[in-house]
Amino acid sequence: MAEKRYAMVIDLNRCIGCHACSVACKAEFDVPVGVWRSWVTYGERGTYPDASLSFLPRLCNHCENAPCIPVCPTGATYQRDDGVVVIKEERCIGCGYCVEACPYEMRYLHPETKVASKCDFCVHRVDQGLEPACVQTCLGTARIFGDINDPNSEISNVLKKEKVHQIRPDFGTDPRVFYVDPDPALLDVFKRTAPQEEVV
Amino acid sequence: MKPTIVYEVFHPLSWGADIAADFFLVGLAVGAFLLSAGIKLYYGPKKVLPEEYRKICRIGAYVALVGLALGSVFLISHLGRPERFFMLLYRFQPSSVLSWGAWIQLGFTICAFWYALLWWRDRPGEAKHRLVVGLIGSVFAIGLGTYHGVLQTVLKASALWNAGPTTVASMLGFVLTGIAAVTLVIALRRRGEEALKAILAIRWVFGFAILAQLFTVLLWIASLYAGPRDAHVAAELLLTRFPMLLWGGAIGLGLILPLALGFYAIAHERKDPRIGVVIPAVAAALVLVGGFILRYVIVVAGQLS
Repeated sequence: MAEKRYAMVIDLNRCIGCHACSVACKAEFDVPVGVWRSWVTYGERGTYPDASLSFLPRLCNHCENAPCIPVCPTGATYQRDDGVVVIKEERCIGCGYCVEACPYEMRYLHPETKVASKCDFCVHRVDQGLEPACVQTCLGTARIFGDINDPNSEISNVLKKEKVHQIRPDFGTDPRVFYVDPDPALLDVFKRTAPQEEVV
Repeated sequence: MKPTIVYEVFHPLSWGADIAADFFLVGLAVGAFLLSAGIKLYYGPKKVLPEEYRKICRIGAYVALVGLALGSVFLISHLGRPERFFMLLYRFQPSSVLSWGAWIQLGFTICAFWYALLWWRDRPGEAKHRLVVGLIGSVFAIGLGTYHGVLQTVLKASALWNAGPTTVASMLGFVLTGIAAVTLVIALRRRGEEALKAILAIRWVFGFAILAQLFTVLLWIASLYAGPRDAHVAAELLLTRFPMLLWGGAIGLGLILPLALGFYAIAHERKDPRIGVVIPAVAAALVLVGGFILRYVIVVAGQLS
């Protein structure tokens, strides 16, 4: 059997935008005020009574071709054998180059430890057979986490049945976070160039 | 119908004025060193350097060392964990541009120190020694200047940085600010005829460097604007969020006004030779201010694009 390859599917039909995932992540890692490992982007369309709201939960994409790895000058960022991209904090010098290299803006410099930080798929939990905190807490069971190399896993079945999308696949990073039925415009707009403005 | 983003998280920018200062000062050092070593190489080991060129070479060597030292202070103090700075050297990662840059900067630091020491000692019979150190240092200087551009250009995450002319514009900007710093120091430290001769000796190089930088910056903006969607959005961001800093500061104050002052000095210096020193000194100061503003705009706008 092939070695494990972890990934996540987020079914937007089930997401209610409650931010429970964001809060669970904050609590799990004691993330300081002002920075987030995981959050939910909101997009609004139209005006009352013809209005709608769409969500895009955000977290590190654990890209197969992660651009944050080769740029790290000390080898602090690396990909585990199971595909999870992690940071060895004791090796990080806090130069911020990986923060600049991430096209999804998922990294930040931790205000207290002064090193780079981001979602790590809760590897401390996963290694013990548990689910990531955001998956466990999701009210709508919108998040499915697992091994995509295991044909019998729930995530493999979802990937077989559903049409999934990645954020900006044109970057060539091959993200390991997939979305079911996302708002295509939200997938395209997450950069600072377009906050509070209309989607291109 | 198009959606409007009503909730999004934006983390604080990780590179700010300190990184802009590092790029600016190290770039200035690279430019000053190349000017100094370039003159020395042009004259070779046997020809005697005219006195005004000796002054330029000496001051260029000192400016390079001081700029490099100050830039390195900004670089190290920017790190979240500055005490781990040495990991940059002993944990070398061949895939990381930054890792290569750390070693190139170390090599340039050694050469710049050595070169400045040779000019400070000014012992007879060391001309060949200066030439060799200048030559090796120039290789490192070109490498370091290129590295600072490539460091940004390789990042696909930023459409503003990930454009061809970024590296060229950076390198030209470094050479220009280096010449400006040397001109300014000459004007401040030397008096009358002595300063005038030295400034006149590099005036045309200075003017040409301003023109080349102006052309490259405009080309860079135009290529972004005409580029793919992300690059076009980045150009719009640059032009709409930083219009005063870009047009007023970096281009107007830092390039066009110094150029105009240069023409004014050429037209009027015969009437009053002091104009030939004061005006280039003011132009050099403006180029330095504009050079820093440009560096700051590129660093900040690049993170937003």
